[in-house]
Amino acid sequence: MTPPPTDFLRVQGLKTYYPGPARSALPWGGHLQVKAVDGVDFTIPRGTTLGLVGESGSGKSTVGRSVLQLVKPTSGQVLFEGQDLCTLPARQLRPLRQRMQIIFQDPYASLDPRQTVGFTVGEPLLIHKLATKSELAARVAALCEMVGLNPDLTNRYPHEFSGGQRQRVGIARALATSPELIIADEPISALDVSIQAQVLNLLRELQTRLHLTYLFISHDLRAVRYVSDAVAVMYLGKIVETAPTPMIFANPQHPYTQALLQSVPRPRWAGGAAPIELKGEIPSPLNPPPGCAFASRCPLVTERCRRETPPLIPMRAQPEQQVACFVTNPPD
Amino acid sequence: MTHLIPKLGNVEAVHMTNSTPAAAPVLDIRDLRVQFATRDGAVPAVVGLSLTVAAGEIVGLVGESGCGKSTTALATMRLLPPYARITGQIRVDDLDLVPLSEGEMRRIRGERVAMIFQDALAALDPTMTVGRQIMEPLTIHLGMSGNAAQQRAIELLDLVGIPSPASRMRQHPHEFSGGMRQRVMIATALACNPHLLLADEPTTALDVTVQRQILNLLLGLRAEMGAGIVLITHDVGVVGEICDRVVVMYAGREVESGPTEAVFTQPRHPYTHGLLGSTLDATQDRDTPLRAIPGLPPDLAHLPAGCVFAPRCPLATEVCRQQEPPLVQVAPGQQSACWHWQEVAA
Ligand SMILES: Nc1ncnc2c1ncn2[C@@H]1O[C@H](COP(=O)(O)OP(=O)(O)OP(=O)(O)O)[C@@H](O)[C@H]1O
Ligand SMILES: Nc1ncnc2c1ncn2[C@@H]1O[C@H](COP(=O)(O)OP(=O)(O)OP(=O)(O)O)[C@@H](O)[C@H]1O
Ligand code: SF4
Ligand SMILES: [Mg+2]
Ligand SMILES: [Mg+2]
Repeated sequence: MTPPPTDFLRVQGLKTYYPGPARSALPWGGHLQVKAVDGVDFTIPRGTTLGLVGESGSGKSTVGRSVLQLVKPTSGQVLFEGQDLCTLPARQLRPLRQRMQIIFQDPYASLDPRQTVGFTVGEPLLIHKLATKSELAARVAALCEMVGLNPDLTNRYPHEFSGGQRQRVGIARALATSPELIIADEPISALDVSIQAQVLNLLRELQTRLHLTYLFISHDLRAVRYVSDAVAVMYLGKIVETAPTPMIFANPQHPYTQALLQSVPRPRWAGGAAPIELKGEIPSPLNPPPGCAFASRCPLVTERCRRETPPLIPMRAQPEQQVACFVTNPPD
Repeated sequence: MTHLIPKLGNVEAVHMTNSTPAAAPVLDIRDLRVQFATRDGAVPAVVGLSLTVAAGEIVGLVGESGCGKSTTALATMRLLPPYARITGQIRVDDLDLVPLSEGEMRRIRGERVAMIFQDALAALDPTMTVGRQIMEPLTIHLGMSGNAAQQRAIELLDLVGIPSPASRMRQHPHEFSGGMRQRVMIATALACNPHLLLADEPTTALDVTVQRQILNLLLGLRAEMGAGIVLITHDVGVVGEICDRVVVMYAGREVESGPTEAVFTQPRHPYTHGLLGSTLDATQDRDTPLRAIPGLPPDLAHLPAGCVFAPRCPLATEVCRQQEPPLVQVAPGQQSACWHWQEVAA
């Protein structure tokens, strides 16, 4: 079965498990398993953005790393223009890597401390032979300026940079090879709002001009709303709701999505309803509960939710919106 | 002593505002200067900054990326590299930290003053289990036994919303997600009920439902322990929600400060105005580009004469390019360093 040509990136039945902590302090107890991603499907058409939001620890970064095969998925398929990256031999994967880049969530850990930031930004251009040595300085300066980084700083080392400056080095590096697919994992979290605006504008502009495709992982719901065509919400390794952006913001259906949208901090004097705080245990991927993962914190929970896992299915009224909840989108 | 940290979900605390800001300051920074010696010459990262935080007060520190916020906090912890030169005064509870030796600082760090670092992965020890890292300050500063410290560490992880805390204690930081590491650091910082908490971007890696729990935890720390908190964040919504006062920095200097509501609704510095203007709001239309402050951030090693913001400022005139504007009082408790503060429209 060949997927239709619009499916630039299609992820099917993705599961990625990590070996977890020891079962006990005793050495012979064996290890628990972390089901970081536990059955995720999505499609990103070329030239569009999927925003991935969700609970901290729900597996968003793992999804991003699994797509690029930086961690080997346990099962499932990652179809890039129809080719399954999970089964592709390393030799055939390598030329595809240039077309996909990741902006890492942790800017410091992902930069080489012994290299100047200018080298770090320009390195992909040399590796993939996209610039000659003599062109390099000018290309690096242009990339730095694009992300609001003063090009005079390129001979400095990462430890001499502030958090937000490092994050921009990571963005500039990811953009260097003009990739077609960018996994942006919290790309703006360390930036002040003015530079955030500049980076978001840049991502949008590059998308229009070069038809780039993004998986945009972020806790910033306003930013997600601004850049994404569609949004997927994760909770404990699974997608619990997905819909075109305007639909999910206007009419969130999963109780977790609703809680997210109501918890965005706002000034005391702005008025409006007081933010709600969810009560209850946050579930653990070491020991996932039976039934719906959100049941322990859900204001709408029923008996059935604690027993059975709700399937992610289209809403009857608007099938583009898929929701996994027995109460707001009952399957029968 | 060990059970004083309030439980999560302290909802009343959310709407408590500080009624007695006149309390003795827990932090009193005067004329702080920090210079990094680099190959390109001296980089003045903090220039003449003064900042006070009263007991029970939460002060927001905001400003452009690279403007010196983390440097100010790290100077207070005395954790800057040896090639950083610090002058001025940093008093915590009447004790000036600037002249202290490393040995003396070690007793103060983690106990009286604690910091939540911006970069969790760099701040945590990759070779040590998460559990040992949280237990360490408890055994060192509070003299707890191994068992008691372990129990307490599990409690603290639970408090910051890490599920299966007892098993998670046995893992290493790289096995945690970004937001989980951040919460481990918060747990370490809160372990000894510090008088002064320096929180550098404590909630950026968290989803908003967990962020809310952490904010309530900070509010609880101030309400029940009377701790003073410096909150460094780019999230203007968070500042507006929990900070009593806010200090806005640009290029290592304070450019504006005052009660949060006054500064955010009636900014008197063009940089603050630009910052608030670039904040995304919920009604942002997808087809209009976001507003950003034009121009590049300043190169600290080569600052212009006069006002440091002048090259990017829409109101700049000749006087701005020649003389550095002093901080002046513009409203009760509100200060601005701008020659044209009266022309800054809200
Ligand atoms: N290298 C690893 N080894 C073991 N477990 C891991 C590893 N990386 C992540 N995990 C676990 O996988 C789960 C999902 O982590 P992931 O980093 O994908 O979450 P996330 O959604 O990106 O969270 P955050 O918003 O906090 O960044 C977590 O329980 C985490 O502890
Ligand atoms: N160790 C260092 N050596 C040299 N320069 C440094 C060092 N640490 C910071 N700097 C410089 O000092 C300035 C202030 O950095 P700082 O980390 O305090 O910024 P920040 O306000 O915390 O920014 P961000 O919001 O991006 O974290 C920056 O311009 C940075 O490049
Ligand atoms: S002093 Fe002049 S240049 Fe500086 S902020 Fe005010 S108006 Fe702008
Ligand atoms: Mg992550
Ligand atoms: Mg910083």
